[in-house]
Amino acid sequence: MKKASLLISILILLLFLSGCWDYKEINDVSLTRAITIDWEEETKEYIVCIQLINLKGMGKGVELNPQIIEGRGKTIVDALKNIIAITAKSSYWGHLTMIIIGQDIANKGLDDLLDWIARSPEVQLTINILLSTEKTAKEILTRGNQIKMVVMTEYGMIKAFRYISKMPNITANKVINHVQRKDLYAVIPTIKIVEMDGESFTEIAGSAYFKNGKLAGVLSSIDTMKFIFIINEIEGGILTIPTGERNSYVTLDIFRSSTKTKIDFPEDDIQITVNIKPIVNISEIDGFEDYTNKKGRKVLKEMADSYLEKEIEGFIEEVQKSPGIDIFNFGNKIKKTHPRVWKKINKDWEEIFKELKVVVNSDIKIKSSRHISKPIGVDTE
Amino acid sequence: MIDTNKETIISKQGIYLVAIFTLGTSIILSGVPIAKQDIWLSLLIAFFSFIPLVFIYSKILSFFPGKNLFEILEICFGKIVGKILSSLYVSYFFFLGALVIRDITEFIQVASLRLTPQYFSGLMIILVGVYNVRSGFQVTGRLANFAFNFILFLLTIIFAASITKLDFTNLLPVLYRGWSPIIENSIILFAFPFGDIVIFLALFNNLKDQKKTSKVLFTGISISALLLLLNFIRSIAILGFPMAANVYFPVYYANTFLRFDNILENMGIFSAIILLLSGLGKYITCLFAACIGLKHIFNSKNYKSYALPVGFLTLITSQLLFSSTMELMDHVKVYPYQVIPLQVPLPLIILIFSWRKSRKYRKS
Amino acid sequence: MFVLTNSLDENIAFFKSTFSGDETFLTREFQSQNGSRFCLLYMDGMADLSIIANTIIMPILQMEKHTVINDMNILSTQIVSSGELKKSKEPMTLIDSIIRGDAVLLTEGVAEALIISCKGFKTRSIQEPEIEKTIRGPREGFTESLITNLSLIRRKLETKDLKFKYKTLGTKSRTKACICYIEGRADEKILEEVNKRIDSIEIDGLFGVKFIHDLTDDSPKSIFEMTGETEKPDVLAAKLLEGRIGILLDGTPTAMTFPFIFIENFQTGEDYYTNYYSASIRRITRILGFIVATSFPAIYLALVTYHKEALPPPFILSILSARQGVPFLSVVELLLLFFSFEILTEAGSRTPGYIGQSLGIVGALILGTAAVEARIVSAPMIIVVGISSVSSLMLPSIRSQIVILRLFYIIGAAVFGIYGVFLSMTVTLIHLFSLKSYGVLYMSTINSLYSKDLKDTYFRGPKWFIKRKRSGGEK
Repeated sequence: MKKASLLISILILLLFLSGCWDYKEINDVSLTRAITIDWEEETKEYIVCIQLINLKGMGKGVELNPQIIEGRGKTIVDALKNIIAITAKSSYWGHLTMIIIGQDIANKGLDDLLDWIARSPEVQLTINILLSTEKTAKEILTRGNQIKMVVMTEYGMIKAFRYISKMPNITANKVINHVQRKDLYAVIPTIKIVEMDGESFTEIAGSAYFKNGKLAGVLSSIDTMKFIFIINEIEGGILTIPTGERNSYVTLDIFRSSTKTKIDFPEDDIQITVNIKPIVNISEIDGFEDYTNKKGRKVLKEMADSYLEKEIEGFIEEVQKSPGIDIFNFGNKIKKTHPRVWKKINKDWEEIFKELKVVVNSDIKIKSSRHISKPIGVDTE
Repeated sequence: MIDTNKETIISKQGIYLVAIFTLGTSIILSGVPIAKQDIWLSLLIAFFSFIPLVFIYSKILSFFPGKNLFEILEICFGKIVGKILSSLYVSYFFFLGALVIRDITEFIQVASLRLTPQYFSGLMIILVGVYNVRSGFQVTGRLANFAFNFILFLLTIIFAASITKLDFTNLLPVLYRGWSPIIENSIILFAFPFGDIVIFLALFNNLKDQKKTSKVLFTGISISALLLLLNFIRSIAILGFPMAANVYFPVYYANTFLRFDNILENMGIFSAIILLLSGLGKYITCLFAACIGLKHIFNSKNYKSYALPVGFLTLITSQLLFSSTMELMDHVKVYPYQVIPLQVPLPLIILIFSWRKSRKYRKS
Repeated sequence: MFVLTNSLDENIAFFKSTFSGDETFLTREFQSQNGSRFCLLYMDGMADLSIIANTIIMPILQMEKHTVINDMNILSTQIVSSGELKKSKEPMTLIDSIIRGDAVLLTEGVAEALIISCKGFKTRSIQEPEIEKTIRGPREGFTESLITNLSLIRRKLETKDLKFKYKTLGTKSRTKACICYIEGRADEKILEEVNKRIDSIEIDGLFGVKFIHDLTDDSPKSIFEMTGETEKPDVLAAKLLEGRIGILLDGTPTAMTFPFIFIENFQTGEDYYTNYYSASIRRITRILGFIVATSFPAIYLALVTYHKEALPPPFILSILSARQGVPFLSVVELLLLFFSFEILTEAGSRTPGYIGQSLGIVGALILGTAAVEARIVSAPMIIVVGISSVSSLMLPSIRSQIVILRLFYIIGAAVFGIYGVFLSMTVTLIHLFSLKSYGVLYMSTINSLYSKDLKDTYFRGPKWFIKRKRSGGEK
């Protein structure tokens, strides 16, 4: 009996020990899903804003009341800790889904931010880093609709990626990998504010690319889609194919697509062939041509293939001219598949890339035309 | 059915015990991957080079069925030298136990409970270990059986959830940096976790069917080696380099990528649970071996009374060994040179002496 | 020590003085037709008067004149028509029998007495046991009368191998116990052990079968029990067939079985009378229920306080809004709620009939809702406690152990997060794995000690799958 009572009293004492160390209730931490980071050149300070998920009221009438809290500091971690002075709750980054950076940080370099992300045990490596194309990143939070932002940041934009492919779905993990290795180039999506109906919404579209961790340029959302085609990350989206007659288009809805990049060495030269195989549905036919019968489908396929090839090859050439950076990471592909060749050429890769011959082959498969076959405009009598 | 012996375990439990021991802390910790994305090659090399030793160990045990390492040492080398060698092994097992505790508590502190002092985490773990040792070896066998099945269950979920996130191109290019980092890494992996199997020389005299020692050891190690291989490949495929090389616990980080939509956001906890269970299994084995060794050195009646003091000492040692996480990771490179002598050449010598002595022994 | 004499009056006087102060002790003197004096001694309320009248007094009164009584032989073999009778000269035995409800017949000139069985005390009739209800299958339950219970068992197992062995326990209560087993199924060593332990019991009064359990327990320090209980003869019969040994106590409707293994907690008699699939699903539900009842609150607590990053974001928002304004820590809420639930359950079981049942449910609902409104506890916590408590009601035989384990795990979670939960689970496993019930491993997965009956532990095997008997015990 003595032993048992000793054991029980120890157990109860243990209970009183709890709360001493890491026991933290959900209400005791500052929950946030999106933070923005800016760099102020004059004061050489980081400005970090968190969107604190706060609740107003008690009992049945609880309402979401998100607030924006700003902290300043010499380093990112310094700025984050200073926020605690305002919120009086300990910081918690476990549910962080988005980090929005301003152009000033992008120009300065991503190293410290990425270091913090990698080192912190709470920040998940699956978060998205976004570049704000507004003047500062803070504006995204201050001007955007707060409650809508909270809802949107629940899973980041992950689900939206599947429907349109106008922004790259890149997790912090990949960004870190790409920035850490000097021979890789990182690309992240961009975010901006749009005004609609008197309210401001945030729009995530387009991308920005980095060299050595510093911002090197921005791609429009259309160009981003071409980029995503090349790196084989298409999950959905649409292609609008001009039919050549009086401004009419056929819209193809991408079901799935896979891209394989082949590297050949004809006569000591490097040739890269990008083979794109999208599987599409016809989702809208504008005009009077019937593209759903056998002859029409052939015509449509040829049109779409040549359109896609022209656009993407054109895009690659543009990138080769300016800025001349291998944002597609073709170099890395060579390294992986032909390491010996890579060892020889990697020092001159930048120059080689500018003169590289890239051929794009597209092979569209048209699966279906949704509910109807002939377009409405076709006269069937 | 009615079994009054508290020390024997059957083959199946033995296999699971060996498997959990080998998984140990290696399932989460991979030390510093010198070979970068080719670390899986190092693992294979380490595994295959270790196999001959499995047979050496079981041969030693087969010469003296029912006798454990310490008794064999005394028979082969005489009382004094035998006791000296036994102390060597006991200190090896002791430090291994302390190392395991330090690995587990370090992980807990870095990855989840940042403020909880490592003394406390360690204390909780050693208390459970001491309780197990005092309950007898048979309980350990049964516990290993249960725990390993549970670990397998969690691993299956993890592997299934990983399928969509795997990008095997991260493993390319193979052998980019040549063979030497791979060999260097395989020496490390040889010593830890495979080499530590030598501990079973001290324990497998309790195996019910003494003829099955080699089969048990071999099966156990193979199962774990396979799981470790899959885990290494998986974490590299998910994380990519250089991320996987820079984090202390790549497998844990890889698991944080996995989720069950709306049910479980982040499967890092599964890694934590697996580490706890397999690390605990490894620690308990070390504690057993150390206590049994002490019993033989001091000719005491019972090894169980050593459990609590030895447990506390491992706790204190675990904290004193290294003053920071970085030192812990650096030690990984030095470790092989400290223990390989006890894992390879010494057992070979023991084998030769056992062979000679056993002929005399059987005649008498 | 008193010895019976030929003098009737002396004998009667002895008994009267033994039972002086006890006014339910009655004596009935009568004479046969030839003038021989007889005296009947019995206890009011214990002996059945009509049996006495018809089988003892009447035949003697009608005895033929010439019958000479020198000893009890003629009476016992030719006159008294009662079914069971014994001759005895021992005063202690005679006193015992009178106390048990038999009648003792004395006559002038004979230094021996006749004990005639005529127990007529009232006992409860055979009813369905309250706590072991079945929907299909027999409803008979044991009663407080040992002999009735033995007959119920005998009717289930009409084989000559069924053995009953009487033991008397308790120095003052002199309660009769009966060990039953099937010869050839029960293991010899276990039987020996059981006999040894029961014979060594020293206590003055025994009123429940659990007394025997407490006095012969293998592991008194463990919270788990090493013996099983049942109130239904068919369940006991099935267990006897599996090689177990049962013990029944006069005055208790519960039979105790041993050895007992953990898996038996998840089996009910009902499983044998429903079809294979539904019985297997129910059994798995019970095992899962056990896991839920013990670990769910602890795991929930660990996730919500130590490992929040594992929770899905919408869930975090729900908890956040539910906990607005709640002053207590989650641990404290949990413990308070569990404690209140225990109070309600206990109160419900003491209150009679329908009020009792509704008290549990209504009390929980109303108090729970009121507590949430008053912001003393949060709604998610009530769900957690509710699910866990209801699951524990599924398993009445280990209910108290579930409560203790649950508390242990909650403390583990509060102190050390998910690591604490799993460490405490490991501790319980270590404990369970080291338990033995009469030499059999407590966590043995083989249900039947008679190893042919294997397919019946996690799943209830269909009857064609359970290979049946072969006589000859197995060690």
